[in-house]
Amino acid sequence: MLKYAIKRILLMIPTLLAVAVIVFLVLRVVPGDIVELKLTAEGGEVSLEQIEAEKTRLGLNDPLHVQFIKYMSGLPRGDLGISLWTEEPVSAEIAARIGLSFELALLSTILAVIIAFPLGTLSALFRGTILDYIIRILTIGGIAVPSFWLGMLLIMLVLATIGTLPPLGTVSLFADPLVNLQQMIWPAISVGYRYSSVVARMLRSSILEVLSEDYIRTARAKGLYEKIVIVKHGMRNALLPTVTVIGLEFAFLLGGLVVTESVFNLNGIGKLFVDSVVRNDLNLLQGLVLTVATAFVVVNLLIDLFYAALDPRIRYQS
Amino acid sequence: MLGFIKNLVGGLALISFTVVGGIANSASCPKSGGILKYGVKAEPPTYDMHGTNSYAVMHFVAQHYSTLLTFDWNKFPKLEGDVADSWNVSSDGLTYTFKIKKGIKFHDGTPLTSKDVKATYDRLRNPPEGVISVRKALFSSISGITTPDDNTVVFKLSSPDAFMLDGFASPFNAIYSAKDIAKDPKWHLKNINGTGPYKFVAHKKGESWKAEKFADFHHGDNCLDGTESFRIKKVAEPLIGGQIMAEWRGTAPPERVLLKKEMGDNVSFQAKTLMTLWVVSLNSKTKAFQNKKVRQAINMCIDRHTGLKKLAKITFTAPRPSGYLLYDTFYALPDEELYKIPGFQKDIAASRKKAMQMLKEAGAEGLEFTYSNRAVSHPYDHIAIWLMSEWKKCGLKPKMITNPTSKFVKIRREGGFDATIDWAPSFLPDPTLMHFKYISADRTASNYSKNTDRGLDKIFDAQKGEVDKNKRKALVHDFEKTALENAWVLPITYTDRVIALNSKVKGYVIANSHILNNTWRGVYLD
Repeated sequence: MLKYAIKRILLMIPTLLAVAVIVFLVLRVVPGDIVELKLTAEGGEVSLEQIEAEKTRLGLNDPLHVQFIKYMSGLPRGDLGISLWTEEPVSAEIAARIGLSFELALLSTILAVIIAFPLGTLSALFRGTILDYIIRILTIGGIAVPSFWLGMLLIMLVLATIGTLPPLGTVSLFADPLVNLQQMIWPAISVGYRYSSVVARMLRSSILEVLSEDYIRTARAKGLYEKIVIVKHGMRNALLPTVTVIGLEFAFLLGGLVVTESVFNLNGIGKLFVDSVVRNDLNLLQGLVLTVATAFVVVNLLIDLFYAALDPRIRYQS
Repeated sequence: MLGFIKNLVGGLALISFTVVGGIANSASCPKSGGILKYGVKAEPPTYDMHGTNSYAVMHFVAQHYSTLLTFDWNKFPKLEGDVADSWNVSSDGLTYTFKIKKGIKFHDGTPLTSKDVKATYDRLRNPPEGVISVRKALFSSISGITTPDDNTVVFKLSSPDAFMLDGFASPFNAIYSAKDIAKDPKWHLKNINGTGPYKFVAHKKGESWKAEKFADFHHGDNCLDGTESFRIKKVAEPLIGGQIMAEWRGTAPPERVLLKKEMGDNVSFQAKTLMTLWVVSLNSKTKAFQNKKVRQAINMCIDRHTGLKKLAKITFTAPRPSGYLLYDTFYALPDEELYKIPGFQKDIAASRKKAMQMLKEAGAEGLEFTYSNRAVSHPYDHIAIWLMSEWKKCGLKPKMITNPTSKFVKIRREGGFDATIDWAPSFLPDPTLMHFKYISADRTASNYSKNTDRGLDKIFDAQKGEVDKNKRKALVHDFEKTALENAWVLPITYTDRVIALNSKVKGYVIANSHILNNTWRGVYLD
């Protein structure tokens, strides 16, 4: 198991290096100019010389290979460069927001799991019944409705019923759990609904597939209680693909809530993504892509390790 | 309106005079205390007021600083002292002497002296390496600054400059401490130490900005305990939901309807015409546009008189046509003269008929051209769609190309367009400030038509140095007529600024620009 884990961790390095190189090169062909945007987007008299001087100061006039070497040499030290907009370290910009995105992702995952597991299981066990149809309508609806749109509806619902929205500005869970919950619950619901639908549908399919396997028939033929057949033999095996979906969705939520965070005025990684794209802040953008890529790779690793723990065949093969 | 004009004239008069005052607004706090929470739709790219035109910087940072002069917001653009106690302009218009108020303190407790004013203006007109001063050109006529004593600062000009006195009231020209500048000229890019009504507490990037009352504020009209400003995306929901009490940039008509419906008497509105002119710049490198008749024809196809009224109902544009200068201000071309210029006539049918004839004569019938648009809904998309339909009525074939801001500004500078939406923001209806954009491209970076007109440059220079207001007015009218007839830059309309405030917010007076009156002096919560 240890050997397997080390091998998987070592494989992360070339993957992330490839991501870093591709992101650097791709972003260099994106049109736009942050300096011009900073100085002239709201009008005013800024000479070309001033724009060039500012670009030089920020290192944007350096040859591409110099910029590349600077960028790549910083990575092993965790130095992602400075944000061209705020001139603060990219790592500090990300660190200031990742906590909120992590919390939202975690809360949405918890909600999704709480909703998806009973729904997915019931839908599979009562296949073809009214209950199954109702659950399927609900879950297909969850996948079809965009989270941000549901978020907008929730805001309107809160305004129409409670009359006030939760205060702006991130309040830490540890500083004031109640206010934190007020701020996070609505976005978590709007994201969690879609998330739970995806997981419930996956779980339903997996359970149905597993329940038609020979070993389930054998277990029933042995005279095991149906509860043991479902939970011990069925659910355990059906969990493998479901865990993959949960893991990947979680990694996606860390950086993928670009619109939902804007709708709820949440200062997370998703909103930072939008800002960095709008401002053409290349350093920040490549730092963000690398962070999200790292999250995906780490989550994938954890899923693989979890697989290995659940399924001895994977351990023995490796 | 007459009062407005009188004040403008008074403010600009460059005869020898001395003004004493500057504490006219002092200590006017009907109620004290509370935290003013407001929203800002953008994030400040810097803390350095000298290096930016960003309204986000103004809305977050301006409350921390003072300027040499400021405006009386009830009698705008009448000047009054901020850190200046009194001032005197010599009869030849070449020497400006300011007496600085005694006892003014920076937030770090150090006293403000004339040396701080000198260091600030030296930084503005001659920025050290690594420092950007975006208004450097406006202070090019200052030849030297001296400080005879701690409370006197003298500006010497190389030639008279009609704009200069108002320039000292520009809200961007924040007074910095000489000590901070000496420590590091770039210190203000990331740090704040001013003499303004509210002291900087914290900035949570992308999220919020906190400030607290400065107990030693020299005017004493900082009525609040502090301010908390938040980065927002929309105005209506946070206002209705009680997350913010104000937003200072403005609301679009549909938002106003929603706010009024949902908040009733709990919301109040203040309105003024914003001194940001929307224009269409025609590229001088586009062959067809090198023919003056084609440019004029394009202008003549636009039905400003009825179209602008309709446009104003769906976005925040003003409902009436305008030249380059804001209508009804002292130097602006009167309507009866403006409406004689091609493109501004009331009879749109005749205007379009003539335009089509001119296009035919120029061999530009059914001309195809690109129109570069910024991917922002209000008012860009609304203006663009309207203009497209107007031009099509003359058989023209415009093709709209919409890009996000960063690409849009790059295309605008590089000239990758035939026609582009553009805007001319200003904080004062002053001809030097507002006409600077339309002089030859080798003299201004903001002329995106990139055309050259030495005749126009000559008129501009003449008005800039003309100290007699009536003679200056005649020169300004000449400039307007010439530039409007040449039609390189087509003025579309000004902007209507309507801000929404929670009814608890009192004491705020809206100005003709969202970059003005952002220190929250006199603002209190009822």
